[in-house]
Amino acid sequence: MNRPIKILVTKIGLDGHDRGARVVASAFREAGMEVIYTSPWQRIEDVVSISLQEDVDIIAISSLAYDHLIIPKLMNALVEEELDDKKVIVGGIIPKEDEEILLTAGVAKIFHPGESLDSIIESVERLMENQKEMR
Amino acid sequence: MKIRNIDIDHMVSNIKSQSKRDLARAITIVENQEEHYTDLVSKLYSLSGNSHIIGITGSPGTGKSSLVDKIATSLQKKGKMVAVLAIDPSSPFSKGAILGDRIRMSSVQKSNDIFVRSLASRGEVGGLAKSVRNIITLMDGFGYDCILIETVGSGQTEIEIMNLAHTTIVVVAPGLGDEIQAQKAGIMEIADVFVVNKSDLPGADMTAKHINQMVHTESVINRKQVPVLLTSAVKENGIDNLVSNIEDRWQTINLTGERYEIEMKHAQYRLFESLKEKILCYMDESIINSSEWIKMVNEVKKKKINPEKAAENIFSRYFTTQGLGEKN
Repeated sequence: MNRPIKILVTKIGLDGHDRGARVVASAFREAGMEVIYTSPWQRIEDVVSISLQEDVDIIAISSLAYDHLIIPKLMNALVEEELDDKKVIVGGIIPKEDEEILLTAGVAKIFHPGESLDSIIESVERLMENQKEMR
Repeated sequence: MKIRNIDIDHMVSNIKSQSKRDLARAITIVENQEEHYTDLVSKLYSLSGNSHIIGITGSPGTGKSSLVDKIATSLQKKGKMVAVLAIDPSSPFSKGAILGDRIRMSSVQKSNDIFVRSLASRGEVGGLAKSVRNIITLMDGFGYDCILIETVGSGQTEIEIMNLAHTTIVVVAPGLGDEIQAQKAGIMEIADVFVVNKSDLPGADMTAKHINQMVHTESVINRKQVPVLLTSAVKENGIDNLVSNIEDRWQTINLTGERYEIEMKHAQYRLFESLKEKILCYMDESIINSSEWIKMVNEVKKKKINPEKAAENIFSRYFTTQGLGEKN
């Protein structure tokens, strides 16, 4: 990888618990990535316009209080804006029974509590490798 | 899954018709110096030259991002097309960066019309400046009326911003006391507008008074009148005044011909820097790896030859035979 991975770390919906997002964002930085970090409570259209303007490789959404259920809406909005080349990953409290909804909507990877930071970083790097091969 | 095909001509024509997606992708290409990036910049360079480029610099914590947020929104409300380039430092250890300026830019975010791009400094020598120059060209070529560039004011970048912007705004905040004293020398020459932000905090008037005194002394010497303005980005005080100062300055430098002089300096700076980068690149690729280089380093180490003399030998060998320079 000759350039840093550019990743958006954000939260959508009404939940403001952003400690997890902060920890993960710092870990991404320590792994040499360029992290666009926003305040929580972003609207779907904010995430879309940030992703477009910043041209990020990956969108990482942290969800701890059922905001993950609006992620399919985000996925649709990304497709509409022709931004579906960006990988979306989700981390936080995602009930097992909802996983299918997110994966069908196009989410690339879901991380649950207890996942180590190293393995999250490794997954992100692997996602980027795959994307690079497809170019 | 869409594969990103890079057709430069197509991309340029899309940027001309103001596709933000293409602008964003073009910036990525330029930032990473991907293949064909010089073609891309060249094609847009001829279209550029219409934007009012505004640099905003100052110590960390003075409220630059919040201020940029308010300036950008205010200019946009007056019918201007506005782009923002926010530069944050990369970690010298991990090379990573947290680009958090958007946290303070909530007003800008509500308006889909303002284009905001975060840029990590990446710490390579000359690399940042090169990216910033080229990104300005892209934004200018796109057709933005105003381009706001926010940088952490630390030494070199402060001076660089002056060489890229028509208007340089230096932001200070009350309570930094001695720091202002220390920065005085560097900061005096570059500011076209001084802003004392956080005017709602105690001590703001005193800070403004100190700066006014410095500005006054300076104005006697170089006949440059630098306004000192009080703002509070959070309370939205003084923003209108600041924005009309910015607009007045643009009008004035256009009328007096100062803009021509500024852009002449910009052109000189850009060409000088570009040439310097070429030479550094040539050194990196052709000289540093040569056996002669290693031999010279050893001789310098053993005190057999003084480094300046050695450099002279290397220079006359590489640069004159290549026709890149002439030995006097």
